Amino acid sequence: MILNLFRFFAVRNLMSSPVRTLLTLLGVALGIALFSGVSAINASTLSSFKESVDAVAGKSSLTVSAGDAGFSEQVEEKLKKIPGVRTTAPMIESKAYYRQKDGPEAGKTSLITVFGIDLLKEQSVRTYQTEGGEVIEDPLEFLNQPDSIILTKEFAKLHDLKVNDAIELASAAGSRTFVVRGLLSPTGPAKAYGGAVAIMDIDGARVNFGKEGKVDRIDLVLQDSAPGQPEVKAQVAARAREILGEGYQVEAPETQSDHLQHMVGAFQGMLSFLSALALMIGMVLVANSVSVAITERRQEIGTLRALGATRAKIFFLILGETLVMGSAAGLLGALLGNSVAHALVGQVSQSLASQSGMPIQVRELHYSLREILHAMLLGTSVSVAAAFWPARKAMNIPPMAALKARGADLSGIIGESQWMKVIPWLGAAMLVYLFVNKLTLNLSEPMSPALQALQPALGVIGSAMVAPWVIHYTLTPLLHLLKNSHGSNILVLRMALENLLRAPSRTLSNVLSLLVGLMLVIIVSVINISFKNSVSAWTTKAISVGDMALSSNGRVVAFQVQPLHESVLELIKKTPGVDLSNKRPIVVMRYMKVNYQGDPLVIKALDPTSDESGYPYIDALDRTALEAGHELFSDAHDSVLISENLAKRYHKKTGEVLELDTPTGRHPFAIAATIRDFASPNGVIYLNRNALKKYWKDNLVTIFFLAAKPGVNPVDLQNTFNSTLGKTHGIVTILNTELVGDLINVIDQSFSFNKAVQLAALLVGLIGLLNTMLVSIFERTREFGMLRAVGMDRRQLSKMVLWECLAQGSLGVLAAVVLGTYLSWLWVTVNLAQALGWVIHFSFPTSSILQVFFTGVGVALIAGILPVLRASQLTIRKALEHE
Amino acid sequence: MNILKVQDIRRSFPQPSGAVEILKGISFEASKGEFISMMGPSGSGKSTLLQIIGGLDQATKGSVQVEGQAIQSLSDQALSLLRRRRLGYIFQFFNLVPTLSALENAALPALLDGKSLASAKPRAMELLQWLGVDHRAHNRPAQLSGGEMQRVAIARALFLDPPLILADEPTGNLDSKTGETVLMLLQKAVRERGHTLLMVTHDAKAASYGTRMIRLEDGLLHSDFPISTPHGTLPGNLQ
Amino acid sequence: MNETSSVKTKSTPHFAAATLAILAAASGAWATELTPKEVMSRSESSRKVSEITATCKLTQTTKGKDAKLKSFQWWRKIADNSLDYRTLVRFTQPAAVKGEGILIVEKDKAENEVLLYLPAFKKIRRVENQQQTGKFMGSEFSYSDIATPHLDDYTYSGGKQEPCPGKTHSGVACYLIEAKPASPKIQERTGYQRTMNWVRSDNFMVAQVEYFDLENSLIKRLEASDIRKVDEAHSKWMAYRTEMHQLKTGNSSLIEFVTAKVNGGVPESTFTQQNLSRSE
Repeated sequence: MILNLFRFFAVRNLMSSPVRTLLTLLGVALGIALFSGVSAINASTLSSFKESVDAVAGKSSLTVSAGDAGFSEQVEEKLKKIPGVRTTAPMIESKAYYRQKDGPEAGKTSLITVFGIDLLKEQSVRTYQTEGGEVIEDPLEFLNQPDSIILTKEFAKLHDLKVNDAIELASAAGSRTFVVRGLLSPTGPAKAYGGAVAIMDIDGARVNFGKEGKVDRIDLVLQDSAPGQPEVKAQVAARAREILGEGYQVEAPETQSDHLQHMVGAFQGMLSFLSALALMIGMVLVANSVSVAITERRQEIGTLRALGATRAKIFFLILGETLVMGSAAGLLGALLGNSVAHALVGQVSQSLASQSGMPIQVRELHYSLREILHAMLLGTSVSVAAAFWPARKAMNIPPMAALKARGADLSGIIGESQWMKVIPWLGAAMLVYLFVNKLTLNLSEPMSPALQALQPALGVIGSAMVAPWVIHYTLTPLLHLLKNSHGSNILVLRMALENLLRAPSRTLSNVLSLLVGLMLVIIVSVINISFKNSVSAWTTKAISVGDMALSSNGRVVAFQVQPLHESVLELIKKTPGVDLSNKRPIVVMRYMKVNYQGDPLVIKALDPTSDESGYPYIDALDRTALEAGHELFSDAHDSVLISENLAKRYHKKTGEVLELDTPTGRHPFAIAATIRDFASPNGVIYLNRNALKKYWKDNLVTIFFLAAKPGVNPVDLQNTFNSTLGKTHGIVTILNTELVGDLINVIDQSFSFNKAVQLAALLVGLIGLLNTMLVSIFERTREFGMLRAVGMDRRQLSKMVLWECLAQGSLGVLAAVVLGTYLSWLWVTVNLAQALGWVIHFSFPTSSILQVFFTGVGVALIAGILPVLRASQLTIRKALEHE
Repeated sequence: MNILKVQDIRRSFPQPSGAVEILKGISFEASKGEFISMMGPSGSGKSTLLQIIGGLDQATKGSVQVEGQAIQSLSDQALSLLRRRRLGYIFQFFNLVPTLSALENAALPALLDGKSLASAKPRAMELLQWLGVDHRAHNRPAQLSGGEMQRVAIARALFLDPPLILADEPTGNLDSKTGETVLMLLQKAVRERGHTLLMVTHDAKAASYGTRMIRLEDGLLHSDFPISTPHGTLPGNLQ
Repeated sequence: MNETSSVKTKSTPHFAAATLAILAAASGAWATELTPKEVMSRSESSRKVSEITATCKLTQTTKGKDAKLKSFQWWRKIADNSLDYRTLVRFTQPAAVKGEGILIVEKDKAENEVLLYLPAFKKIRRVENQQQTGKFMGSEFSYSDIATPHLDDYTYSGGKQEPCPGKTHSGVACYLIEAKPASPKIQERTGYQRTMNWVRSDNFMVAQVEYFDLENSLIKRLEASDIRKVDEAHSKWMAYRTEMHQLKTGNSSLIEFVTAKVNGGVPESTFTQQNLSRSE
């Protein structure tokens, strides 16, 4: 029986309405494509990073590190003596930026991770290979020349470089020229970070990157090191921690991957959240489409019941049809997902790299048969789940429906009138629950995955359920207003609106598709704009320090640059035109990552300046900037300023103590104020740079902010720097206006994925609306015939249909704006805050709303073209004969 | 044994102004091989009575027995089986499944019973041939004329050889000539295959094809009498 | 570890072998046939110079490329145990390597210590033991090739005589001796499964060595030439030209002594880290 149902009904019914089937399939496929594309990107990013970590780790089982500042090379001697340690391999790890000089990509900056290694002992830890011959032909020459560098074949090919070529990289002393003395095959560490890796001798790296006397990490190869020897590893790790004390991390390679997951998990969560929303819309589309199909086939289903089909069989018939369509949608979505993943992987991984400061480059996108099967399964289950309720409705169609002419019962998704009364209340309850959840949620606690998945579902379904109220309470007063108006045009308008009110389910079906699509567009717009406004407002304040910023070559706006030696400050001071007054002093900042309670945080260490400056870069929330700055730079005690999200996350506040682990031990810092700073999802700490030098032994500077003297044009000063320090040290000078522009670009890039979601949402909305409008016009052929028979002319009929389309479009927009604004307010202040760790303030996207309005109405008009044409071209006789 | 026994069937419909009784106590019986035409003015309850007999609707009071089995107390599942195997339906608007061919529509009861098309095909073809539409076996309803569609519907109704066939205005959507042909086929089915047919019609001429007349008025059985000379002979090719 | 046993057995057979060699040479005729080990013992003795100061050239020839030339100074002195040498190499040319120094301190009971001085960073770096099978500073000589082999590190077989290979040794007969590492540790350190040694029958200097890797494939060939007597009194010889050919790649490295002074007095302080880290 089931096979018969499948063979004779499911497939044929789908094929009998090819346009509708295709449109529904496309809509679902789009949602699946986005979802599976994002899943693939997320998984590939993490596995790429893990591969890189493993490639760099080589044979080592443990790695000792202490944050960006590095630690003394003397530590190696202590580690060598630990029983169980066979070999130790120190390493300097620096992010350098290579600027392409010639060719089509001239001027483009690429991140390259430089490993400074002890080439005389690397063999025991890592393997380097090259095709034919040795990696380094002449070690004596290589080791004695600080400008020696080895690149990967991949990087060299990409940038058209070969052995003995010169390349410029930023160093602590400014831009330096290095000579390529070898090329590596993609094995071992050369595989890491997509091949954007270079090798130098460790002493060369120390000199070039300001790490004299230091190392960034020491890898430990353990005795008889073999996979699955936790005891030796655990013992060595414990002993190492005991010897080294706080301030050091002793970790296995897999733990480092977990850190990245932690850092980017939030951002990835947001991507998944948005793509889940797109999938939800696909579900609504399926539910809508199936309901409309059931309405159309009501008599047929009644006939089957009359002829002896049981209710269960009708139920499975409907589900069976959806299963077939869902599987096809899943397959199409899976294939599209591959394209989506490839199209977006570059942007997404760059955003993740910006977020985490880690060199994330996806070498290989994992989109295999497994992902395709997952997507198909997702498509099938999502479609079947969406069709569950309409299928239940279908099974309750009485056999008597066989005796009624088509179109007589126009039940849509909601069905009988009793349900129409109950369902909006249920929807309202869901939306209210979300509000209550917001009020009671602890933002510093991570939300459970179940709740994260539930929220978008509740929001979308709740909104769909509440839509009937929006329709009713908009149309009724409007009709009331028109009651006493006269004229044939008004009459046509009134008829149009009355038609919509009289068939609430049908109206709802039409409005729903547009509603959910536009709602997602609004939500995404709100997220984008709220984030941009919050961050821009802060950034403008934060970088309105003076007129310009100086740093080495790289992504200055994200502080992803090679830090400079602090001695560069003296050179800057000597440049004529620089304001050296106390009122507008040079602001010297070192930006680096540290670990706090296992999480990566950002430290911004600043040179003390006088109170006269007013500390414009401090956006203090619970004190004045003056008080906060004064405390921070006070000699009396060590103080810090902590960011809002750090305070929330770790339950800290002004007046308390923050203990930080440094290479010289754990030190307490008094929290002088809470500030606003978006530099890190986990938190930002402002520190006196003297404390950084004292406890972290770090004397590097990331960026200098300065002002032009009164009377000096900042652009002229910029040119001066470009022609002096720019030439001698490769230092870049960026005006504040340019920095803000760069920041907006970075944010735009981070949210570039969202645009894809918006487009998908809009397409799905359009598809859904077209779908349902076509069907409803078809259903009403007889009705139109009757109207024409009683005297309505073609123009009037066309106008009426047009008004109906416009009204439904406007209703969709209105509902989308109201509900979308509400939901996005919830999500910006709850989910986004949870996901990104920042407190984002809700911004109402006025211009986007206008865009949505015109888009929604435009979409409705486009969807209405065919129905209007069809209605206007009806012949009365045929229409009346229509069943 | 009587094929059909209708006892004191009552049916009321709730209205805002109070319940309206459409059927006020109808009782009659039908034997094997009878062609009963049920007539009555609009609102007399004849269609409602047919729906109750066919298990499409529930009586407020009274009982219906089909081959001795009371149908009121049957579960939905059992009723579905009854409709599939013991009753045949012929509708005014034919109610063919638009995505199935004439052959598949005719074999629909078997398909609903879980049989394969291959096993049902011979019987379906036999019936279509008997009804003179076998040459349209592979056409879909959209490609058939009204008369052809109704013949396919008759084949469907006869497929599982049900003892009782219910026809609701079977010629209501056909022109008179085609209607006549259909009526003669129904006669043939009763005469040659021994089915019992209960036909609701408002057309006296159509009613005259039956062997017995039942008239309803205002929800009551007004008259019940045999038709001594049923109308119609079949054209040559359908004898 | 078998170092203790090798220490005990070293001195006695050396002395005996040396005496025999002198007697045999003095008699001008081979009174008795030598065992392979005795041949190698005499070979060791022939080249065992207590001290040497030299200037050298290292020419590295890579197939398909121009030859690279380095000049260096060389100091070498035997330790008190008469077994282990200390060697200091100081590069003088070209400019890229000028001032670089390598200090090799052979240790009888432990791994040899190899230190590298980099004047660009004013730092001394240690070469890890695992690297000692690797190329010595980019040449085809490995660290273990440069270090002094101890007689008891190997077992010896063969010993038949045949004409010495190479033009420079024409007319001279050579003993053909196969040497195998005496223990897995020695094998690991050297990276060779065995070597074939052509030892001149007149002065017991090695004319040629063939090296077989752990898969027993012939990988390198060392050719010694321009053999000169450097110590008349003690009958000590030196090969002024030693060339190592890498047979797989076709590359080769040639060490030539430009000047050499034997037993001229090399102070102990030469072989200290302080001296290593002096640029000049």
